[in-house]
Formats: sequence, C-alpha cells, structure tokens
Amino acid sequence: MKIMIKRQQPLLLVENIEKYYGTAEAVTKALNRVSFHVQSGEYVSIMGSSGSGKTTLLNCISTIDTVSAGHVFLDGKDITKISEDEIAAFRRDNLGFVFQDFSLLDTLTLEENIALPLTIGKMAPDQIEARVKETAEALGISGELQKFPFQVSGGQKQRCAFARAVICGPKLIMADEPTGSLDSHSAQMLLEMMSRMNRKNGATILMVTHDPLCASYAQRILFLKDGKLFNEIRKGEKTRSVFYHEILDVLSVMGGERP
Amino acid sequence: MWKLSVRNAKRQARDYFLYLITLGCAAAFMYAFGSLIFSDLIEMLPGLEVLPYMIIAATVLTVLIMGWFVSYMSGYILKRRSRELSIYMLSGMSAKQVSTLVFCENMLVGLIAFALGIPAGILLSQLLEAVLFHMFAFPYTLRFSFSPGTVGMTLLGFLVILLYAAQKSRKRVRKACLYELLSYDRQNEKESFCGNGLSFPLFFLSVLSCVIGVSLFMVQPFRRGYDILAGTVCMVLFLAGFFQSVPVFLSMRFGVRPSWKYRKNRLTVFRWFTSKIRSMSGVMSVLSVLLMLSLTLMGTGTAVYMISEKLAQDSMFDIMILYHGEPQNHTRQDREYEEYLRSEYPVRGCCSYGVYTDGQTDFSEVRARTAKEHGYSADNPYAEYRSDTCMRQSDYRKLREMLGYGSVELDPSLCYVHCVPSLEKPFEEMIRKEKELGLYSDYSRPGGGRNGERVQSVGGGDGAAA
Repeated sequence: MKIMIKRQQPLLLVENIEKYYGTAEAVTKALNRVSFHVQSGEYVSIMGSSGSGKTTLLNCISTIDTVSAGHVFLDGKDITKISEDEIAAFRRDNLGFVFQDFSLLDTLTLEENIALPLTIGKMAPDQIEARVKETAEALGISGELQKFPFQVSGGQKQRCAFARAVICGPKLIMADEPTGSLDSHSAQMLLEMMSRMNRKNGATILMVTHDPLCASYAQRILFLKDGKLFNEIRKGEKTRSVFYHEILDVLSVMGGERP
Repeated sequence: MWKLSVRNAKRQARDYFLYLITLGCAAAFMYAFGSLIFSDLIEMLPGLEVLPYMIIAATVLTVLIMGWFVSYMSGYILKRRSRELSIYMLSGMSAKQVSTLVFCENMLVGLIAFALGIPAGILLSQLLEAVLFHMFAFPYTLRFSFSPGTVGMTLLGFLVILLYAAQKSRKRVRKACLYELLSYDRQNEKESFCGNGLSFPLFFLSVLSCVIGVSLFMVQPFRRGYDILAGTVCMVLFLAGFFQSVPVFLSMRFGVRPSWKYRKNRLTVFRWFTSKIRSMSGVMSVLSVLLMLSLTLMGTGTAVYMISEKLAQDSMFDIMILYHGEPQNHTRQDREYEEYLRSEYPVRGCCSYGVYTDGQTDFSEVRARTAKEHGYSADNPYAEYRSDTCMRQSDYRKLREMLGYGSVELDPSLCYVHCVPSLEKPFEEMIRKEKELGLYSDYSRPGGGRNGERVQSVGGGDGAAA
C-alpha cells in the first residue's frame, strides 16, 4: 500500500540566487547560486565569516536589496517580481526586521516606534494601543513605553525593535546580528525571548550571526562561505551546549582545520 | 501620515530651523531685488540704460543662488533622515508615500518661511533703495512700501525654488532602493564630470570664459555698462566651471599617488574633500561667485557714487531750468520760478544776465549743434559747456561785485577770458600762439576747461556781441 505524504510547502524558498556588486571594471560576486528553504515555524540561523555574503543574502530575501539572478518565494509568492506598488504592503504584512543597530526612530517614543507599522496600516487607534501593550508586556518593556530610545538601555531598545518587527504578525522575522550591539546578559535575554516566541507562537525566524552562542539557539544552521552554502546542521534533540560545540567544529573546518 | 509629518517637523525643529532660515532669507532677498523692478522711486534715477537689466540680472542670480542653497539644504536634511525614511519603508510605507511625506514637509516649512520672509524682504528692499539712491547722490527717506506685484513675483520664484528642491528630494527617495537609502548617510558623493571625461573640456571652457570676461572689463567695446554686465556673466561661468572641473581633476591626479597622499595629514583632508566633492564644488562655486559679485558690485557702486559726486561738484548750477525755443517767450515762467525759489530758499541776491552766441538765441538748438559738432550724443551733460558763449562786461562786473571779488578795469574794445587758476597757463599759451582770437573762439579747448564751467569769455563793451 502506498502512502502518499503531502510534503509541507516551505514558507521561504530560495532558488539559485546570485548577487553581483560593483562596476564593469571590478565586479564582486557576493552570492553564488544559493538555494535553501525554511519551513513555517522554523528557527534558522545563517552563519559565516565577514564577507561570506550572509547579510547580502538576508537583504535579498527581505527585499531591502534586489537579486541579480534567481528567485525568492515567500508563501508561494515570488518576491523578486513584486511591483513597487505592492512591495510596501507586502513588507508590512509578511516581514519583520530586526537590525544590529536597533534602527529605532529617535523622535518617537518606544510605544510609537512599536505602533508605527500599525499606523501605516491604518489600524484603529484603540486596537493599536491594545496590541502595543500586549506585545510590550510579552517582551518585558511595558514600563518603558513612554520613554525615548536615548533614555533606555541597548537591550530594551532591541526588544522594542523586536516588538516592532512582530507587531503585525509577520510570516517571517529576519534578524541581522540582533545581539551584535548588546552586552552578554542583554543578548541572552533577547535570544531566550526569540526562542520562546518561536516555540510558543510558532514564529518563523531567519537570523544572521557570526556568533556561535547566538546561533546555538536556532534549530537549523546554514553556513555560508564565499557566497556559497558550505554546510547545514540541525539541532534535533541535542542540547544547546552540544549543538554549540558542533557549530564550533563546523567553523573550524570552514577555517581550514581538519576535524 | 500628515500627523507623522507634523510631529517629525516639531521634534526635529532644530534641524529644520536652519532650513527655515535659509528659505526665509531666499524669500527676503527675492522680494528685495524684485521690488526694485517695480519701484516707482527707481524710475526717478538718472536714465542709465543698463540699470533695469542689472536689476533683473541681480534678481535672476539671486533666484539661482538661493535655489542652489535651498536644494543643498534639503539634500542635507534628506541625507540626515535617510535611515529614518528607510525605517518607514521597512514598516510598510511605500516609496511613493515616503517621498510624498518628504514633499509635504518641505512645502509646509517653505510656506512658513515665505510668510516670515516677506516682512524681512520689505525691510531689505528699503535698504537696497537707500543704497541705490546714495550711489546716485539722491536724498532718500525711509518709507513703507508694499508691492502686490513684487509679492506675486516672489511667490512665483519661491515656488519654483521650493518645488525644484522638493522634487529633487522626492526623486532621490523614489529612485533609491531600500538598501541605498539605509546607507545613504554613509556614502561618499560621486564626482561629476569624471567618468565621461568632461572635466578637461569644462576646465578649458571656463578659462576661455574668464579671458572673455576680463577682456570685456578692460576693452569695453559696447559701453554704457553692458560690458560690465556681460563680463560679470562670463566671470560667473568661469568660477562655476572652474570649481566643478578642478576638484575632479585634482582628485584624479592626487588620489592615485601614495607618495603625496600619505604625507602629514593630507590623507584625512583629501578624503574628507573627495567624500563631499560634489557638494563642496558647488559650495566653492557659489561662495566664489558671491565674493566676486560682492566685490564687483561694491566697486561699481563706489565708481557710480564717485561719478555722481563729481558730476554734482562739476555742475555750475544748483538748479538749471532749460526751455525749448526763445528765452523771451518764457518770461512768465521765469517769474513763477523766481517767486517759488524765493519762497523756498534764502535768496541773498539776484542778477539776471544773458550769454550770447554768434547769432543764435535758442539754447537747445545751440546745444544740439554743439553736440553734433563735437560728436557727443544729444543727452551728453557736457554738450552745453562746449558751446561758445560770452557775457557782457557790465554783467561781469555786477557778478564780481555780488561774489565779493575786487573790481577790475576792462577795456571795452577787448574781450577777456575769466578762468580758474589752473587754466591760466594753457590760456596764455593759447593767446600767444593764436593770433586771431575773437569773442566766439573755442575757449573750451585749453586744459578741458569747458566754457561756462571753469572758463567764461567776457565780451567787449556793454552792448550785445554780434
């Protein structure tokens, strides 16, 4: 008896993307036919050394930058072919962004920063207020909502940025070195919070990092080297500590050492 | 979005304050120069043919320079806010919405600046009028004047500037992809005229423009001030082209020479310069043009003022009333003028006398004939001094007595020349050389004396000379 198992369509499908920079005289190939997929609810980390193309990959997937070749499908829609008119709404409804430098607006309070995507989406003000309060409580910054970014710590700023990224309920949350500007304690708080969001709320997270400790919170890690996918490892049932050491082994191989 | 825009404007008031001041100054300067075109007082000034064109040229230049400043400021603000704008786009705002937001903010600030600039422009226009009148040695009293025509013209020019700057910002936002916008404030400016090899031709064209301008200043083939105007335009083109082409040339030459770059602190200065090469070239062009124009206009103003002063000093009369036709036909007007002058001014004495020519009695005809003989234009102020007139000895004696000069013995059979001391020797020389001198010989020749100004011929006897 044949049992047909319908394979779940991935939320994110990246097919053979290439990215070139530079002028006609000096061309840099930042991404070289990179392909992978991310299922809904997965927590994936992209690792690589400086210049490996990981931020470029994230920028291409997140529509911040355009690809030179290839396709990126998000929930079945080819985002490389989205028109200028549609892309703004697409970003708001489907994507959330967290940057290393927080990228908060200094002229807005934390509450206003979180509410910004909802105001652009023209949600009713009372609904905005309720949703902001709920998200801020989940992230532990409800007491700082009336403060401006310069009045709070780095960890609180990054949690505010994360709140802004998730407030619209996006399908995919993209984080570029989210702990890069944080102290170890704040970094750990943020990573645990992201992990909790992934476990409890089923948030799909794609995170770029060069830090093995940061990457160990993910369920799957893609390693980039010189614009190409070098390796992939999964956490499975391992503990985070064991997974962390496995990451270090892969990194040492990438660095040229034999395991 | 409108609330977001207003909130941004309030919280970034410090950044926008400088932009507001720049726009306000633009409106004030445009109103001030534009008001000269509409001013009824300016029409009273001596009929310098080129004056209206100079005012129009100054107005156009003001619009261009202020337009450049406004565009520069709006580009600067856009650069500072590029990350903020990219966050709006990441949060779901479309590029069109963001560019409209920036456009609306610029227009809001612009309209406020316009409202503040007009009163400042009214004050500045008074200052300009005062300066212009002082240049021509005319008395001026401060007055309040408001010209709707000037406001309309200023609004038009201001809107052109504002819309140009706002449209430029809008285009930048629309064209830039999100990635470029995120890093816009960290980007170095691209050199203009570099890749397409236009820097060398531009440099040579600018030098050629300089040569033409200097030639026009020195040779002055057109006269009447058109040479100054055309020469100034050429110098402006020279400075603009020079500062656009030379920095590019220098960065291309020195950027590839480590032996030059790595000495002392040249590296940081050089790279600071090349990172802002486009805007710095523009800034240097504008500043040098402004400096050149300031010096040129100061010089022109000083020269005009000195000429006016000299004309006033050289004028023999405080009030000169000229009639067409025969003098005896205007005795009634003469009486009326005399009565008016006596009532307005403290007249200590009065002497009526005639000056005589060789037969003609219509002063304007004598003047026109003299101007034609000596190649002057009909409105040349020196034409009347070249006509040969003389006065009676009795009138001469009366005038000497009025002025407190000592009395002199005059031979009725001779004619005399009364002149300033500096012309004594030239006249002695003339009399020694020329045997046949009479009443109507050319006594305005020696030393540029000008008959009636620094020399006066006095006829023989008390009868009218034939």
